[in-house]
Amino acid sequence: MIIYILPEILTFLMAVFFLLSAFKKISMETLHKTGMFFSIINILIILFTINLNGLFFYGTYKIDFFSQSIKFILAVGLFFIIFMADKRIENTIKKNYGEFLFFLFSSNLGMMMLSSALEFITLFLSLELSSYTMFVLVGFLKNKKISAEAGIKYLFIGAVASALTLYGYSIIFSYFGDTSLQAMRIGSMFMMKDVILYIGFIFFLTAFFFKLAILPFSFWAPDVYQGASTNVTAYIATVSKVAGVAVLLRIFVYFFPIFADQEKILILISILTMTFGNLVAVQQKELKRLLAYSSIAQAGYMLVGLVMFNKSGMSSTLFYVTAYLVMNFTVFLVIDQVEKEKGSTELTALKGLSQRAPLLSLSLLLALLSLGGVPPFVGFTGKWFIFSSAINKGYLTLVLIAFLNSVISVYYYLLVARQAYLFMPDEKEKMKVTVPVRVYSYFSIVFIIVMGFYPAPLLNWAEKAIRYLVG
Amino acid sequence: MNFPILSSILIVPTLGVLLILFCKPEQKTAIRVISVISTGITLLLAIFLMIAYDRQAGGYQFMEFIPWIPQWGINYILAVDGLSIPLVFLNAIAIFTGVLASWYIEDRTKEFYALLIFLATGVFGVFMTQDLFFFAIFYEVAVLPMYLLIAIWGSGKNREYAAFKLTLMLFFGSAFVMGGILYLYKAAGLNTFNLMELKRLAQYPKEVQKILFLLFFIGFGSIVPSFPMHTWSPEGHACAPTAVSMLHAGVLMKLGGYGLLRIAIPLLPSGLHDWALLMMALSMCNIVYGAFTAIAQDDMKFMVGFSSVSHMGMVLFGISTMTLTGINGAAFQMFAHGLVTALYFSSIGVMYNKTHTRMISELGGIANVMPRAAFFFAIAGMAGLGLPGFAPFVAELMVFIAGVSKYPIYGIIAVISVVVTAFYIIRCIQRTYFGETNPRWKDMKDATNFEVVPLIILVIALFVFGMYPRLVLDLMQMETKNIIAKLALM
Amino acid sequence: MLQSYLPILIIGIIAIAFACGSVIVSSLIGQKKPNEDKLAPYECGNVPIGDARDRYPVRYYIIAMLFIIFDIEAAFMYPWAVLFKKLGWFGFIEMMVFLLILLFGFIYVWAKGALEWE
Repeated sequence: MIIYILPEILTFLMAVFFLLSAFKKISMETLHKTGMFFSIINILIILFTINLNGLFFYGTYKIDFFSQSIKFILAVGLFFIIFMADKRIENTIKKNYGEFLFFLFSSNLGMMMLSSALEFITLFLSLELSSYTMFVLVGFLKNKKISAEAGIKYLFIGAVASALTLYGYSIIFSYFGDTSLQAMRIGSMFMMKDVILYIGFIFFLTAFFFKLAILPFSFWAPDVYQGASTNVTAYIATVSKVAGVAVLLRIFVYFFPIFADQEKILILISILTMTFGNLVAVQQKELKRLLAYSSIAQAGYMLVGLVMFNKSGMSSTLFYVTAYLVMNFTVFLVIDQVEKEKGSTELTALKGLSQRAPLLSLSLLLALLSLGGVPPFVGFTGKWFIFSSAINKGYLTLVLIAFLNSVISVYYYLLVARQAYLFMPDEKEKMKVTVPVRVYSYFSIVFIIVMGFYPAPLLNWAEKAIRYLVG
Repeated sequence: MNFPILSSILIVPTLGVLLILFCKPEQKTAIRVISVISTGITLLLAIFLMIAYDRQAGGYQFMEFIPWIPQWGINYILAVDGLSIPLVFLNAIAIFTGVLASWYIEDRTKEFYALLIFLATGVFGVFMTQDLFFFAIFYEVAVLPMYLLIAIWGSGKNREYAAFKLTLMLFFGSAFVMGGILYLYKAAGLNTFNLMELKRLAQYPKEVQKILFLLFFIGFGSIVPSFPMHTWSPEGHACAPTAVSMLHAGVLMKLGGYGLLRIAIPLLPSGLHDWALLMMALSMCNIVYGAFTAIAQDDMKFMVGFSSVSHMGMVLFGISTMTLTGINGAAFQMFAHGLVTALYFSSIGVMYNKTHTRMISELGGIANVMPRAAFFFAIAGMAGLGLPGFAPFVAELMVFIAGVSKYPIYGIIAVISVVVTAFYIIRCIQRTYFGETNPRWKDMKDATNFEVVPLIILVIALFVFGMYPRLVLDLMQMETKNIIAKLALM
Repeated sequence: MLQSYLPILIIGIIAIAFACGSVIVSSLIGQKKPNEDKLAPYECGNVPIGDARDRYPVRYYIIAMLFIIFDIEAAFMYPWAVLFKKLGWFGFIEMMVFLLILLFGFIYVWAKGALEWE
């Protein structure tokens, strides 16, 4: 049995290791290397367990291909985030790097448990574990007011969201009398469709929509993205979204009969989300804020695939969120490299990047265009699949609105890219780019182009995972 | 023969782009040579296609089929027929001459050639693919480099604005195309994006056809460019560097007409019936408005830009007649106009590189100092206004014959626009090239031998296809006959 | 089913209406004669010195947080104590794991100096 939950146990032990390492004066480089090493071990162990199947802890914890592949993606994301830090990182993080890694690993542990949870208390516990550690991570930069403000905003809004979810769940529980999702799956087929039950559901979804930054629970995103340190923002923007999508997938599959009538409301929410995110992003002058609004809009696209309630819609969303992890991480990596050099994350900090760091700016350009849904990149292909599944259910207007939203998003992504390509830089020297960052840039360019043109591998994996989830 | 010639037409330029990307920015000669060789090979392949296509058999030939994502009905399909081959050939000529015409670019040569050839590869893909998913991919690949190409290497204070406007409006149009394609996929119910299958099997009810055709008309119409979605075109023409203008006006704008002829009309014939009058009215706006606005332009490239708007209106006009002559004329006009515009812009470019101005009021008597540049622009002008002996004459003749027989009054208005076209072109030639030489230009050097090469190629093509248009018309006729057959069934 | 809750709703509405109503009506109808002395904060007849807002020592907040955590830990031990015999070794080991996790937290808090008063 230990083998089945080995990834979780290992992550927990690694987290405790980093917690205890806060007492000895270990240098940041050693901790950094240990962190990367641990995260690679994590990835390998998860790959080892990927085909296992089992139900544990009295039916509250499910290990199957779906949960293990989500854990794999989360572990890869964790590796990317740790890899992003180097010795030019903020002072506060540098001095407390052990605790920083502790919070990162704990958050990842929470998300891993989230993808396997099959019962409400487990779900809620994992959700809170991943959220609270992120609240701390956002407010980590003690000497910066903006970071503390972001942390407090995130904490308060997150706490209210959790409270509303609990309230919603209490209503659902009053109907089913059992906290396991399996009981709900069976019971909801025979359940009377009561208005109170629907209201309970809307409240129940609050914390999950909060995590994904879907309107109207998305207003924390701009301030939090801007205030947190760039690698923490990257973590929230990429890994947390994967976990959010995974848990929504599970909820929608298990509560399917009840939700199926509510398609129209959820579609309205997704249209509002994408439109709001795209329109406000146009005004932004600060990169992390712009990416926050863009991630609100992207959550809108992902929601479209989720609410189709069929296998093709769900597998397209899973495909899209995985591709989104790579695309978004590329953008944040470039922002992080520029921030370390210039100390600013304004749009103008990217000025002339194409002259000073051609590889980085090429990967930035491709990632931005891919996020905007421009072929032949993977963002377009992901959106194509999501919208194909939408159109198969007859939602032509929704698809047109979504494509038009992509056009708006191309505008503000081009605003970012044009800083890098159209202007001449102030400095003459080339930017120092370390080899690992170069390797990652090549990887992301190849991934974005190849997966856009030939998405079959990633798509087949996503479909297999959804088959395990549903079956 | 099993050699994947169509994929080679895609792969050779892509390899060229990759090789260019791995060059250092200082190795400009190497970059240029790689560009010329890769586009030259592609041109030879395109000429081979023209010759090797079996005109007796007709239909789709040189097909390549690789299952790509079977569960979604997406396959990698490349096949050409009589409609695509001339356009592939046009694109090959345009990119080859465009590469030659861009020899003067010194600033960031590497990125320029990479983007330019990448754009042309996208256009090749659009013309050759028969799967709607890949059509969507290549369609936007053909648009996306335009932003950088115009904004970085263009001229004029407004170039960033022009670049944004062009890119966003074309993406806006493509949003409608994508939506239309997805709805085609769903309404057919066959779970396939294979265009050939859809043509054979899909039946769309009339109400669906009406909506879908409108979507496609908005989508493809914005790239034609059809009034009222044409506003990106003149500025895009003017602010872009020479080769980009050549490709843009010569090839990019043909994507719209091709999309209509390839996808919208064969699958949605009753939709065309429903919207033909609207199409005709808008094409009239194009023709007349384009011609009259061109009169008022001082910048030569703006003048040519509006003239392009006017001539592409003739394409739509020909399509809206729904007759064999009209549609043949429209298709041939796409081909001929592409050649003419490429010649226009490259000859203007040759002059602009020396004088650094395109304003008619500032130029004068250029022919005295640059006789060769003047000669080629004069030929372009003559061909453009429809002088017999050159390709556009045949195209416009066919469109007018069909237009006057179907819509008499409007056809005559269209014919009158030829007079207007003649007016502004001849006036431009006279003011710019002939007459008193403006003292500013006394010491200009003429076009070098090297600069003249692309111009000669285009003139020869215009003349050959003008004298013997059947080389291309026969090819196109095979496909347009099928379209007319489908329309007649309605 | 919900009809039985109706009286509670009515009581709630009446209570809120009464509270809000009295304040609103008095502010609308009552005379307004503001006066500097009348508006000054009340400090048992003395003249107020300084700002009413003091910096609250953050220590109290930290102590409160830590108290809650360890108090709940203790509260969890009560049910375990009651069922100790029945749960046997399994329960014992589970409880030890629980205490161990909280022990790690306690060591961290101690070493970081959150338990210092000054």
